Amino acid sequence: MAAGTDAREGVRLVYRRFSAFHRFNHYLVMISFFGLVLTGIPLKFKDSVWAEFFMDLIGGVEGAGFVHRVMAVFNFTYFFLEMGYMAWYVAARKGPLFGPDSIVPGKKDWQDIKGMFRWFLGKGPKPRFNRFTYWEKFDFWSLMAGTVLIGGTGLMMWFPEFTASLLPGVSLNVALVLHSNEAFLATGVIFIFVHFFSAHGRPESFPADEVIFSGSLPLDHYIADRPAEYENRLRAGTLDQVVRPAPTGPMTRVNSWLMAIFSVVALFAATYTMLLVVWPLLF
Amino acid sequence: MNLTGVGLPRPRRRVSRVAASAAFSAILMLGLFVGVASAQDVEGCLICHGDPNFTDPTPPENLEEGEDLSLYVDAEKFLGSVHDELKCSDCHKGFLLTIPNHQIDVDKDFRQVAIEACEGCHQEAFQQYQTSEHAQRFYEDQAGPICISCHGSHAIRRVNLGEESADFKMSMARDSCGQCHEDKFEQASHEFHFKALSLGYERAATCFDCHGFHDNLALTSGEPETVEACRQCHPGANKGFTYFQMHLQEGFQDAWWGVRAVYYLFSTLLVVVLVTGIAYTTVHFQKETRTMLGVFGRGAGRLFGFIRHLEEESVKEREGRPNGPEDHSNDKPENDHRGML
Repeated sequence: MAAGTDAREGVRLVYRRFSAFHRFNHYLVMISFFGLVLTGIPLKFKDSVWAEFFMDLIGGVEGAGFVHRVMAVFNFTYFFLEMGYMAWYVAARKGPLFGPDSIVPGKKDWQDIKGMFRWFLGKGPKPRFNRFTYWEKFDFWSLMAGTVLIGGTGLMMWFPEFTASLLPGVSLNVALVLHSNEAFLATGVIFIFVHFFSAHGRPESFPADEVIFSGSLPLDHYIADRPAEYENRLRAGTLDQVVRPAPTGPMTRVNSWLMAIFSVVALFAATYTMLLVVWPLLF
Repeated sequence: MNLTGVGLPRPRRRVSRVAASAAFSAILMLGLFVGVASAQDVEGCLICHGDPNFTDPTPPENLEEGEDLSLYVDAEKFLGSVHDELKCSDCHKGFLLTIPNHQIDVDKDFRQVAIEACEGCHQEAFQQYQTSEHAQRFYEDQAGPICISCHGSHAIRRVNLGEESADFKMSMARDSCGQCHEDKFEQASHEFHFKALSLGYERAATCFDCHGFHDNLALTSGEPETVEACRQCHPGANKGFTYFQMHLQEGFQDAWWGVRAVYYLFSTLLVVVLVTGIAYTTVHFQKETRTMLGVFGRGAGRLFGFIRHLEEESVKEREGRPNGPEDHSNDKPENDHRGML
């Protein structure tokens, strides 16, 4: 049976979208994000009925504080890995910074936004997207900017005495307001309404988009989803850089198990997080 | 003993019922006085003061018409308090154990009596209290609080400094400091330290951890005593550290303008991003879902069309597989279903 499976998948072609490095970073983001939100939000809404219950569950304020700091280190890790990767990408001239494959926003994104609204109103075709759509770029850069802001203010409060040796103590008030509001913005808005719906909640990928876990997606999905990149590569003859036989072997199974476990946990955690965020708005 | 005489013939000399009852009452009253005088303790006082309806028979003049001054002491609370082994007269000094009006020096203010009673045992705390602003105001015009204002009187709890639960610290702060400093208590409760405390972190500071409990200091940013107060937990605290604003209203109206600016900016940003985010997401996914299902028909028919499509897809995939033993076994029933659709 194993041989038969290999033979069957050997002929399937897939588009390789994310390397192991990026998939690893996504796991870091997932773990640290949920860890930080679940240990931080009870403090923000300490009057909610669930706050004390949840704090006790994760070892009280002390335990939550410890987990929060460990997760913060994960957070810094993915941030510096990603920034380092981008610096290396530019330095090693792996590709142009402002090209069609780049994560850096460009003129095409503005045109895509306009095109998308025309499509919403039924006045034009759906824009043909490049490697990254504008909402993916928004998602990525808001995460990076948010990490700088929330990480910086978090560090200020982690080491208050050091902060006070450089700035007046009222800067800690500012840090707390920024940290708490940015957390709410990132959780309630960016995460739930941008990332969770646009990346994983779309009808064709619900409940989780496999590509960030397995790294690749079927070729026909790719052509339908990112026609512009496909055409560019077809013209330039670089399609063989990204199209390859579907991966086989034990790692595929490990990946799909990891994906199944993580996406189920994440779905629950996301629903729970949404509940935590919506609760204080209602009561 | 008298009871044994019930069955015997009655004595000849009869005493009237009235006389017997008077004698009984007299003996009872005498017994009561002797009891109180000799016991000089809790049980004796509680004969009257243990009655929840016991009020002052000669109320002070400043009492309003129709108002009663309750002299009730909850015995259960007192016996559960840290002073459960003390006698009433240990604190209520200068009282005669007669009824009514026990106090010898009736002109002396009860607050002065109370302060002196506490001083008797708690000299150190009393000395600290003397240096506080609370004491200053008390000696000026008796407006400041005294020991019993914060600690209560008959139900004083045992305090183990440094070993108290978060709940205990929180309730001490609320019931003592919060009585008069309602606004400060309310403001502090939005702040990080109080939040952690109310979620059960007993090491987080409450009012008296910074302000002290007997020598209560009004702490001002930049003052050396404020630096000292912070250093109890943050050993590296410097002068700048004390400019952290501890007591702020919930909407930051009274905060430094920088805090307010950041707060308003982010609140606006939050609302804008939330509204546009929800609106955009709704439109985008409504459109995408309609387009995706649109090829399968119109109206509710789309959904059935889509389900049929999924069914066909899965069948196609199964048929496309190279022959495997498990595929063959499943083929027949699946094909039958497809025929029905």
